[in-house]
Amino acid sequence: MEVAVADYGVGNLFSISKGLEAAGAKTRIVPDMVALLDADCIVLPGVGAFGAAMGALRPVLPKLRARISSGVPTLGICLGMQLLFDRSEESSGAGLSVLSGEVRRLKIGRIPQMGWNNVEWVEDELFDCVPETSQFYFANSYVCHPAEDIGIATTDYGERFASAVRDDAIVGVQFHPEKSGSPGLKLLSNFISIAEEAQ
Amino acid sequence: MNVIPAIDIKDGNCVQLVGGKPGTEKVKIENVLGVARRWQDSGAEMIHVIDLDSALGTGSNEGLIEMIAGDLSIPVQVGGGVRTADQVQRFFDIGCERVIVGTRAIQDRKFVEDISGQYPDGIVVALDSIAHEVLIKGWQEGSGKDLLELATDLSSLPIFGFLYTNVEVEGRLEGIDPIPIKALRESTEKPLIASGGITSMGDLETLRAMGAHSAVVGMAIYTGRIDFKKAVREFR
Repeated sequence: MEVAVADYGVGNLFSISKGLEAAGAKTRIVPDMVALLDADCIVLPGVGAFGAAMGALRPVLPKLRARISSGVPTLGICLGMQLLFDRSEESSGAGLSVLSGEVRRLKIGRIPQMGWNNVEWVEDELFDCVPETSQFYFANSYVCHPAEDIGIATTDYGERFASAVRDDAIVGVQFHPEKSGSPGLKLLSNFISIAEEAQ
Repeated sequence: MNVIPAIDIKDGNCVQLVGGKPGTEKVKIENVLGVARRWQDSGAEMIHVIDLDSALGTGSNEGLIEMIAGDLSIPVQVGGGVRTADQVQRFFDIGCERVIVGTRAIQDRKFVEDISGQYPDGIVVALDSIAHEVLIKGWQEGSGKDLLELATDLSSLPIFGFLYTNVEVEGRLEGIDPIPIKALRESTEKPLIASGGITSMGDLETLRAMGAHSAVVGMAIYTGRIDFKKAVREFR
């Protein structure tokens, strides 16, 4: 399976591509968002700001929304997870709205959250064979508040928030699996399995 | 507390120096990427990479650092001779998580203000000291500035925190001196990354008790004085 990694024009996408390739996927970094429209599988990486990333996606927005909603396996990481929702306190303007809910700023403690934190998950294929005490690496100031019951993991950082969501083959994780060592790589490989089954 | 392995690079090799002095190599390993992978596989939650050539003005190992940052699946904190905004940006562009700035940060507050504004929580200011004087230029010169005054002053900026290296004990495997670390903890609320001289699990315990955010270990894990795997597990 070839995974299209959206390149909104900021940040380094090498570690995410490498993580996906370690999971057995072929990756293609796509600077032209039109290329997302015929992808088998989409990854929205976690680099940059909400407004800028949505600005890059805007030209293909209605079609991309339709593609993802029609079941093309999609993984949103950190900011990429937030893009899947309706809107964010970070910038004005709509998100992709393939998941309903909104993104709000963390309220308590040192912001951004930068570092390793616990993730408590319910049984889900995304976390298959990930050791139970695993921590994941976070770098975020905002978190998603899903309006529907799609949360599969939570994390506590002054408040409890959804650190992973899944609606069939649409998956979002607030942490960076590509920077979370072996549990993160396992999770990426589980996502690839989910994506393959969805095809 | 995170226990972070140090990878100091000189002439393309992973080295460990005594007191930061060139020519005192106690450890020299050619396969730097292999070393980085080994620490990652041993459970490291972050890698601390210093370009000694860049710090000492004898060259640059940026290509190698780019290879490491791209290859690892854990965050990388990088430093050594970072003196321009362009260098800071390049390190973030190649995927590093935090960039350590020493000399320029000590001499130019405006510079720290600008880059930390641009990369909030991404900049670590290195306070490399002998007694209470902060050193600059790869530990070759004194800055005339006081450790605690600098820490207090720079704490109001959106930097991630401070990397404190006690040059007097660095690389000597004789343990840490808790006094300046305690004083620093009282001077700033920013995260404190401690380095220099950490030799035993007891040193790590002392640092944790003082509230250090993380501990950078070098010589002790390369010489086997600290079992890195065990240390990471115990202090996580």
